[in-house]
Amino acid sequence: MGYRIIDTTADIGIEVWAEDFKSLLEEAVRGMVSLMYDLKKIKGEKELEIEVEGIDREDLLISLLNEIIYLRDAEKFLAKEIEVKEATENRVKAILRGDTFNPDAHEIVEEIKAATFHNIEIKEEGGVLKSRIIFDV
Amino acid sequence: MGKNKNIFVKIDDYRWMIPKGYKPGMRVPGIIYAKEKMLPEIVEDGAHEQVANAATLPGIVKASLAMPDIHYGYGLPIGGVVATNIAEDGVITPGGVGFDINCGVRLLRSDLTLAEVENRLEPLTDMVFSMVPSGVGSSGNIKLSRQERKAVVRKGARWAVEKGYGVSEDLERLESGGAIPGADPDLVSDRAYERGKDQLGTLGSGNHFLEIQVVDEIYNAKLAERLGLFRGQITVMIHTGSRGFGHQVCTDYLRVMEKALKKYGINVPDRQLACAPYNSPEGQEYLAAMACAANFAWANRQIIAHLVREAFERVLGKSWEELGMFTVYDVAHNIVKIEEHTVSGSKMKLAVHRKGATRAFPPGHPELPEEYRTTGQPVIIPGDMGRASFVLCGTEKAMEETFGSTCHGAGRVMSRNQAKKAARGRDIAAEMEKRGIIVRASSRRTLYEEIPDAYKDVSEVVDVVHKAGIARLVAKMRPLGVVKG
Repeated sequence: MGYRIIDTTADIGIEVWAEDFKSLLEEAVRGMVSLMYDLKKIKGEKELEIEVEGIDREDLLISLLNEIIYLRDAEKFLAKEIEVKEATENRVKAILRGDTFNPDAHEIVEEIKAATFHNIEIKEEGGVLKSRIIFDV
Repeated sequence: MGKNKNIFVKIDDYRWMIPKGYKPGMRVPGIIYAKEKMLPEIVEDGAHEQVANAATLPGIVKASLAMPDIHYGYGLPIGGVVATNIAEDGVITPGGVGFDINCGVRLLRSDLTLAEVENRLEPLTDMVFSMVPSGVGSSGNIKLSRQERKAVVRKGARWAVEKGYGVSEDLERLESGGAIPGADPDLVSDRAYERGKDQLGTLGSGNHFLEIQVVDEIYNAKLAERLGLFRGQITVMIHTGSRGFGHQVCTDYLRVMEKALKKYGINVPDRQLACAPYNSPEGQEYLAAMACAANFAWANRQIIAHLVREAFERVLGKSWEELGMFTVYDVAHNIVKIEEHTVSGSKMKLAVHRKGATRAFPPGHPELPEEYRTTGQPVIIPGDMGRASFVLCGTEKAMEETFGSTCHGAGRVMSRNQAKKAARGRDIAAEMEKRGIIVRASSRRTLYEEIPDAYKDVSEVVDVVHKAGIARLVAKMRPLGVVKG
């Protein structure tokens, strides 16, 4: 499993792949937060439990990513790591580790506005799940 | 035209049609406003595919349009204009507006000349930079109660004026008077309010900016005079939107629309184009929530404009009225609006989606303020930080051809990563300084991403809309002091 940053002219995206849906969700979050801030400066002192719902797997993936963007703005919480506890087609429960934003200690790199549904698809190829997510920055 | 021959049919030197048969499900053709030499870049980018995708939306009339600053976005391309007939099965799509609802531009004029402030540009830029909160995660100084935040999104710029940010004369010179009707604060989620709670009066980051400029060239003396513009004059341009509040409204309603697709049996080639009929609860609710975000953005630009005036007052020791810092105009370039247009000889009420496109109403249009009735609506086009910005006026031809719309800016040609690579090892601020431009940015990274080379030459873009007749060139401004997030 892993992720790769991809370029589009106006925005930015990631390609993710993993053996199962749970790991795909985790890898997508890792990819996105790697774009958002300098991870080395985040200690992971705070833990947050989240639960997100979706109408299908794609919706769930995008909604999970948007939840993390929401937490940055509304709770000033910079998520660094994720551990998915439970994932079905319509619901994911996870624990996030990160820090409360401190402008003196942290560096925000890209102010991602949202994960988009642009051409969103989760495909299975040779036992590996793959997806491509475009962010609005 | 090479391989583009198979895609486009030439209408004239500035219009290229993607025929209805290009993609299954297209209800109308696509039309891109561009010069022939711009086409290979558009095709390489894949933006023409997004023009074709939008042509499949139910209720779309005439054509799926794209302005010459077109580039690949999500859902609709940036530079896209789509109008749907709301009397029939026309849809509303949040993907036709984008996340930054009512991202837009305001232009302030002044009585100052470059000669008068040449040696004060650095303190002016510094003062603006320190008074207007900018950068990622920037917080403003305005804290709102629950009651108050609902008033903001209902009243838009008027709320800001009532709180002492500017004067009521400003409101007459804003598109839609700085607030669109139909905003229902209760249709916005608590999450959106939470995200936007301390972002009112903040610039944000990325391509948003604030610029002190000088009018460098006048193309149309009569129109420039009516707009209060003259050569050598100092102007200020503000480019920002609805911040996290608008982003969350879009995020929330995209999910509503995803469910609506199934409910109304609509197929779209891209989930980001999820939509619902105008005449449906989902369509109406999105419009009411989008209006809240649009109004938030107008309040935001109103507050920032006033902070800029205060910055000038502090540095120059005169009141902003004495300095003549009045509003020229304020346009939205990410929005959907219900407007009346004539299509094939019949008057229709349309939902006009402009995503990276500017309204450009002609002289005589009833929605224009008294002083612009004869000029047509001022259109404000921001460029990149090293080159130029423009003022144009709307035309009758725009009304006939593009639902009263024209371009919105330069349009990127390099991705952010390509720009960063191109900027590696360079001192961008110093390069700008050599060109006589003072730059203040919260983050060096933003400067890298926003290097002038990352954008299409905005002069080429406005040249197309001027020659195609969908806006008329009035003036060109050159940046002197730039504040970036």
